[in-house]
Amino acid sequence: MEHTMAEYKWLDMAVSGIRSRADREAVRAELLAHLEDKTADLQRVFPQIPLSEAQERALAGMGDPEEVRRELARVHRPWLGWLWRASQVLAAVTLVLAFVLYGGDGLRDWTRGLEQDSEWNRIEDCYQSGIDPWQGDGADRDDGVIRTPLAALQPEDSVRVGDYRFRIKRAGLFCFQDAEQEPGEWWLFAQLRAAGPPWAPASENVIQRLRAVDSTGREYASSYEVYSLRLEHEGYVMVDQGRGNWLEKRFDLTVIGIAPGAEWIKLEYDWMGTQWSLTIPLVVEEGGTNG
Amino acid sequence: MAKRKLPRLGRGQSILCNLVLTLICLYALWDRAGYPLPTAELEFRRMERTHLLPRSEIVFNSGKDCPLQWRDLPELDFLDRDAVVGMTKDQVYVYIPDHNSLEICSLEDGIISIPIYGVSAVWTYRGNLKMGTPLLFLNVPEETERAEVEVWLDGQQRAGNGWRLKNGVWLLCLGMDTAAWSPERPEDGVYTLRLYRADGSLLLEKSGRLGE
Repeated sequence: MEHTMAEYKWLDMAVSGIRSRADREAVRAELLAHLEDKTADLQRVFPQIPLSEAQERALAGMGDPEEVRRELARVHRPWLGWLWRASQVLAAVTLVLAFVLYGGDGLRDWTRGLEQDSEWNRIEDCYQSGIDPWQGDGADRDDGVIRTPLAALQPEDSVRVGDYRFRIKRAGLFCFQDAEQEPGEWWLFAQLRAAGPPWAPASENVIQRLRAVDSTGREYASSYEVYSLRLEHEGYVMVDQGRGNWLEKRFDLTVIGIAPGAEWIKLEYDWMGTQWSLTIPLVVEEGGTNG
Repeated sequence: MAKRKLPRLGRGQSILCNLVLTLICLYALWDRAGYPLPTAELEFRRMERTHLLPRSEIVFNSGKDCPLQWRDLPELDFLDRDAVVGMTKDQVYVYIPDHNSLEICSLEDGIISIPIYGVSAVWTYRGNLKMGTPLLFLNVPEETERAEVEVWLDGQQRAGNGWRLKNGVWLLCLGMDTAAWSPERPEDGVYTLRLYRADGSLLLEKSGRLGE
C-alpha cells in the first residue's frame, strides 16, 4: 500500500519519544500495520471512497500524535531496551566462548562417569550387582579362586554430612575360597555415592578413612591405615579412586575378609570430630544369586 | 500443513532467557576451568568442606596480611604463591593453592612451628633481596615483642627475624640470597627460637625440630 507524507509524519511524531532505537522501529512497524488495517476496513465498508480519503480518515482515527508520543514514551522505558540489547550481546559472547573453550572435550568430560567404559568398571559393576564377572569364563581365570555370589544387596541407608549425602547404591556379597581357605571368606563389593555441590566434590581422603565393623564385632581397617600407614590388618576396606559426574561422585569400595555368617556390616567414619556411619545388612540368599 | 509460530516473547522474558543462557555458558566455562574460586581463602574454605573438617579460624592469609610490617623490620611479602593457615582447637590446616592439598597438623600445648613449604617469603635487607621459607610459630606468649630464630641446616647456622601476625601467632623467616634458595627445598633443621620482651630482656628460649 502506498503511504502518504501525512502518515509518515504522524508515525515519526508518535514514536519520537521512544529512546531505544530497536523499540522505536518495532513500535513504528506495529502502528503502520494498524493504520493499514484501519484503511483497509474503511475501504471495505465504504467502497466508493478513494484511497486517499480512507487514509486520511484512518489517520484521524489514530488520535493526536503528540498525545500518542507522550503515552508511548511513558510505557517504553529506555533502560529496558538497552538491557535487552546488553543481554543479547552478553549471551552471544559467552555462547561463543563456551563453544570455543568448552568444545567437544568438555562435553565428553562432563558426561564421563555416566559411561561404564573401561574393563575395570565393567568388572566392578558385575561384582556390585552380585554377578561373577568371569562367570562361564572360568578357563581364563586360573587363579584357583572359587567365587560364589551370595547376595545382590540394595541397602537403603543414607546419611547427610555437611554438604554431602552419602549412600550405598548397591552391593554384591561374595564368598572367595581357594584350596587353602576353608570355609573361605566373604568380600563385599559396594558402590558408595557422595552427592554434593559439583564445585566441591567430596575428597577421596575422606572415603579412604572409612573403617568397618561387622555384627560379630570384627573390625576392618581403613584404606588409609593399610596403604598410607602400612598397618597390617586381616580385614580392611579398600577404596578405589572416585569417579562420576557433576551430580554424584562414586567410589568403588571393597570390604575384604568379612567373617562368614556376619549379619551386617557398618562402615564408620570418625576423623577430626566428624562421625557418620552406613549399615549394610548382609542378607544371604538361599543357594547364592548365581548372577 | 499450517505453520505453527512460536509465541513471541515479551521484552522481560527475552532478557530473562538471555541471562539464563549466559549463566549456563558461564557455568560450562567454570566447570571446564575446574571450578576455580576468586580467593585463596575461599579455596581454603572449600577444602575444609570437602574434607569434612570443622571450620577453623584463619590465622594467616598471605593474600590479605601481606605485605607485613612489624616494628623496624622490612616489609615481608610472598612471591608467586599464597598460603592460608587455619586453626581449630586441636588442629592446624595449611593450604597452598598451587599444591591443591590441605596439610593437617596436630596442635599441642606449647610453641609449635609450622614450616610453610613451597612458598617464597621475600623482603629487602640492607639493599639485598632476601628469600626464605616462612615458618609459622603458634602459641607464642602474648608479651613477646621481638622474635628471632636460628636454624642449623646442612651444617650451617642461619638466623631470621619474626613478624607478628596477631596474638600468639608469629611468622619467622630465615633469610638467604635469592640465588641460593629454592622454595621446594624442605628446611627441616633444628631450630632455636628466642623471644624477647618490650624491654629487650629474654622471655623464652626454645629449641626443637621444625615441623614438630
